[in-house]
Amino acid sequence: MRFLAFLVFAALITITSPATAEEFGSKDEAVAMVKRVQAEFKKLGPDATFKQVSDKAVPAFHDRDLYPFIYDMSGICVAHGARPALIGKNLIDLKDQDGKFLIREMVTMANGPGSGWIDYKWPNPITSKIEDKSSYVEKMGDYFVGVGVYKQ
Amino acid sequence: MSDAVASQSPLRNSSAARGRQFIFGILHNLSIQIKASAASAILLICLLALGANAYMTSTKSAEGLRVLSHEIEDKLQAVSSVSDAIVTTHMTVFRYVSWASNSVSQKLLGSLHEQIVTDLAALTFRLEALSRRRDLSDDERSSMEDILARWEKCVHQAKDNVDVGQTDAAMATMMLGQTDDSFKAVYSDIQKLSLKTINAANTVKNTLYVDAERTKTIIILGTVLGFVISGFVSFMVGSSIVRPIKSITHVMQQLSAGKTDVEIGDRDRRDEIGKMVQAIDVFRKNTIEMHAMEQAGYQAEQQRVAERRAAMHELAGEFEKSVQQIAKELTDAVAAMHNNAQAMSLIAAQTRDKSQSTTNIVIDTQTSVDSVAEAAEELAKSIEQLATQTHSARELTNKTVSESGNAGANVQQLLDAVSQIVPITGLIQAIAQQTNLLALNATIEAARAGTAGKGFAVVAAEVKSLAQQTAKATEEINQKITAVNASCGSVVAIMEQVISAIGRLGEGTMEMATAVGQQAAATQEISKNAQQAADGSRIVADNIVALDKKAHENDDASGQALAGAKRLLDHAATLQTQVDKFLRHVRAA
Repeated sequence: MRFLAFLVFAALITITSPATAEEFGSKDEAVAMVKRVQAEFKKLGPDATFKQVSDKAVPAFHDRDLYPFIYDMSGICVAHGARPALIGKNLIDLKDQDGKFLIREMVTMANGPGSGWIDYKWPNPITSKIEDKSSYVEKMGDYFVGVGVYKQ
Repeated sequence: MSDAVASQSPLRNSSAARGRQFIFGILHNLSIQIKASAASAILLICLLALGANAYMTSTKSAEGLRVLSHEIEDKLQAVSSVSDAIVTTHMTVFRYVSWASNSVSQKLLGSLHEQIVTDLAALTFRLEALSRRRDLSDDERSSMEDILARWEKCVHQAKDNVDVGQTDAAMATMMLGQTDDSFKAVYSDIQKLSLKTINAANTVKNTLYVDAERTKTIIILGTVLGFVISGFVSFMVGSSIVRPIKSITHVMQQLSAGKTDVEIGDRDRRDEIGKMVQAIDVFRKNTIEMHAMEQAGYQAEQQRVAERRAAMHELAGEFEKSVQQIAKELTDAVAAMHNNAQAMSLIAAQTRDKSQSTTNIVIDTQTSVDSVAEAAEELAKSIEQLATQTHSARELTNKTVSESGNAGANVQQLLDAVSQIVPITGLIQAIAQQTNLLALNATIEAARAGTAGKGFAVVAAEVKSLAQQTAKATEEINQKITAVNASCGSVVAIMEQVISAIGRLGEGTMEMATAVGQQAAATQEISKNAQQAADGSRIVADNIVALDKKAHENDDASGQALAGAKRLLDHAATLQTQVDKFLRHVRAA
């Protein structure tokens, strides 16, 4: 109960506090970033898009704690905005601390509805701590692209 | 229900009997050697079967044990060692991520990264080597392929994990979950493989156990079965040999006891017993034939003996007859000889008496002649007396002459009697020779008769010696007779001289009688003549004495002849007795 109350309180703070909204990306911003990646993908094709997404110097895809990530349908990471070490690695079996196969869920989401929100735990590049994260995932050709927000 | 059983049981019995007959038929036609070795052969076959089974089972067990100890154990060890190495590597990955998350120097991390990469490669190599093992079952091989596939993924993930860990410890920590899963999957597969291998080992063990159990059962069953079958066969063979042998033994005992009407069974068997039985049957038939032949031979022998005995009896009868005849003749002859000898002896005695009286007379004559000489002087006186005396002298002389003639005739008679004895002794000698021959024949026959003729041989020898004694006695008689003959010849000659002398005396007396008338003139001459007469009568007297002596000798000889004849008689009697004895023996034989 206390935890639930805390959640409600936190949600209220998030909504009511514009100062904190500035520090962390919002869900809308995340969706917008996905859309930008989609637009870029359509415009430049996969390779250029992957490069831009992985390049931290490109501000369109690197905004505070927001960054896009692109996987193919087999779970291989092809582009990552925050963790370049993952590029080329197959993470289809990746589980979060709760044991959730987040990449598999994303693949399912992309193949199924085509887009949607998925909650999981992921290390925050800013804090370098594993945090609750909610990512918007959308199918993009043979790939899917996602941008998530860290829940404060 | 009971009816059904009752109707069924004879059928079953008959089929059982048929079966038994069939078995015995086979048994009876097999040679004893085969039969004797049947039980051993069956035991041997059982033993060989058991041995082969044991050998095969042992080989299989050895192979199973070899597989167990060399292949499966080795495999398990290899798998477990690889599994341990994987665990170690897994731990190393953890350590790496842990170090990466806790600010361990890049140098240390680098070396650990290198070690992990090397270990992963080495593990890949070992797993590949494991999958290449030839002793893997198909199941294990497919498991191994799965493991290899998973391992490949695991290697990728581990490498990704440590790669990410070089730069992104948080992400590496994130990724540990999937790496763990991969490793776990590999472990689980390896576990499965181990389980399969253990199962295979268990299968082998189970097979070994089952084989051992089965072998045990087979050995027990085989042993029992071998014993039962060989026991049964031994019993069957034994009974098929022992029973007929007992019956054959009985038959042979019967046969040896001389009973030929025994029943011999098992003749249609084709084994040695059948042959034995056939041989015994032949023997039995031969025995019967032999008995018949013996009977015939015995009868023939009996007949022959009877015939021979009859012939012997006949021969003995004939022999007895002839011997008796001879003996009778001999006895008669001897009796006649004895009579003759007696007569001769009598005659000799008479001769002796006569010659005595003659001597006396001659002496008287001499005395008379002397008286004549003396009385010549007184001749005249006594012419009458002279004439009378001359007449009486003449008569006396005549009488003497006639008596002397009688004596000569008697001597001649004696000679004749003696000469009659000679052919008799010849006859006796002939008889003795014949007896000797008969005794010889008898000896030969006795020898041919064998032991039965032994007594007979003794008798024959006795007869032979008797015959020889007879011949000897006869010889003696002959000699005596010759002596008597010679003596008689002398007597005759002397008698003739006496007769002639007496004749001359008679003439003188006659002349004297005629000269009586001329007494005077002739007295001188008478005297002279008387002297001459005296001389002559002296000679006569001498001769008479000699004759007397001869007569004595004659008497002795005839006595001897008589004694010989008596001995001959005795011998004849002995001969008769011996011949009777001999004949009794012959007849008894």
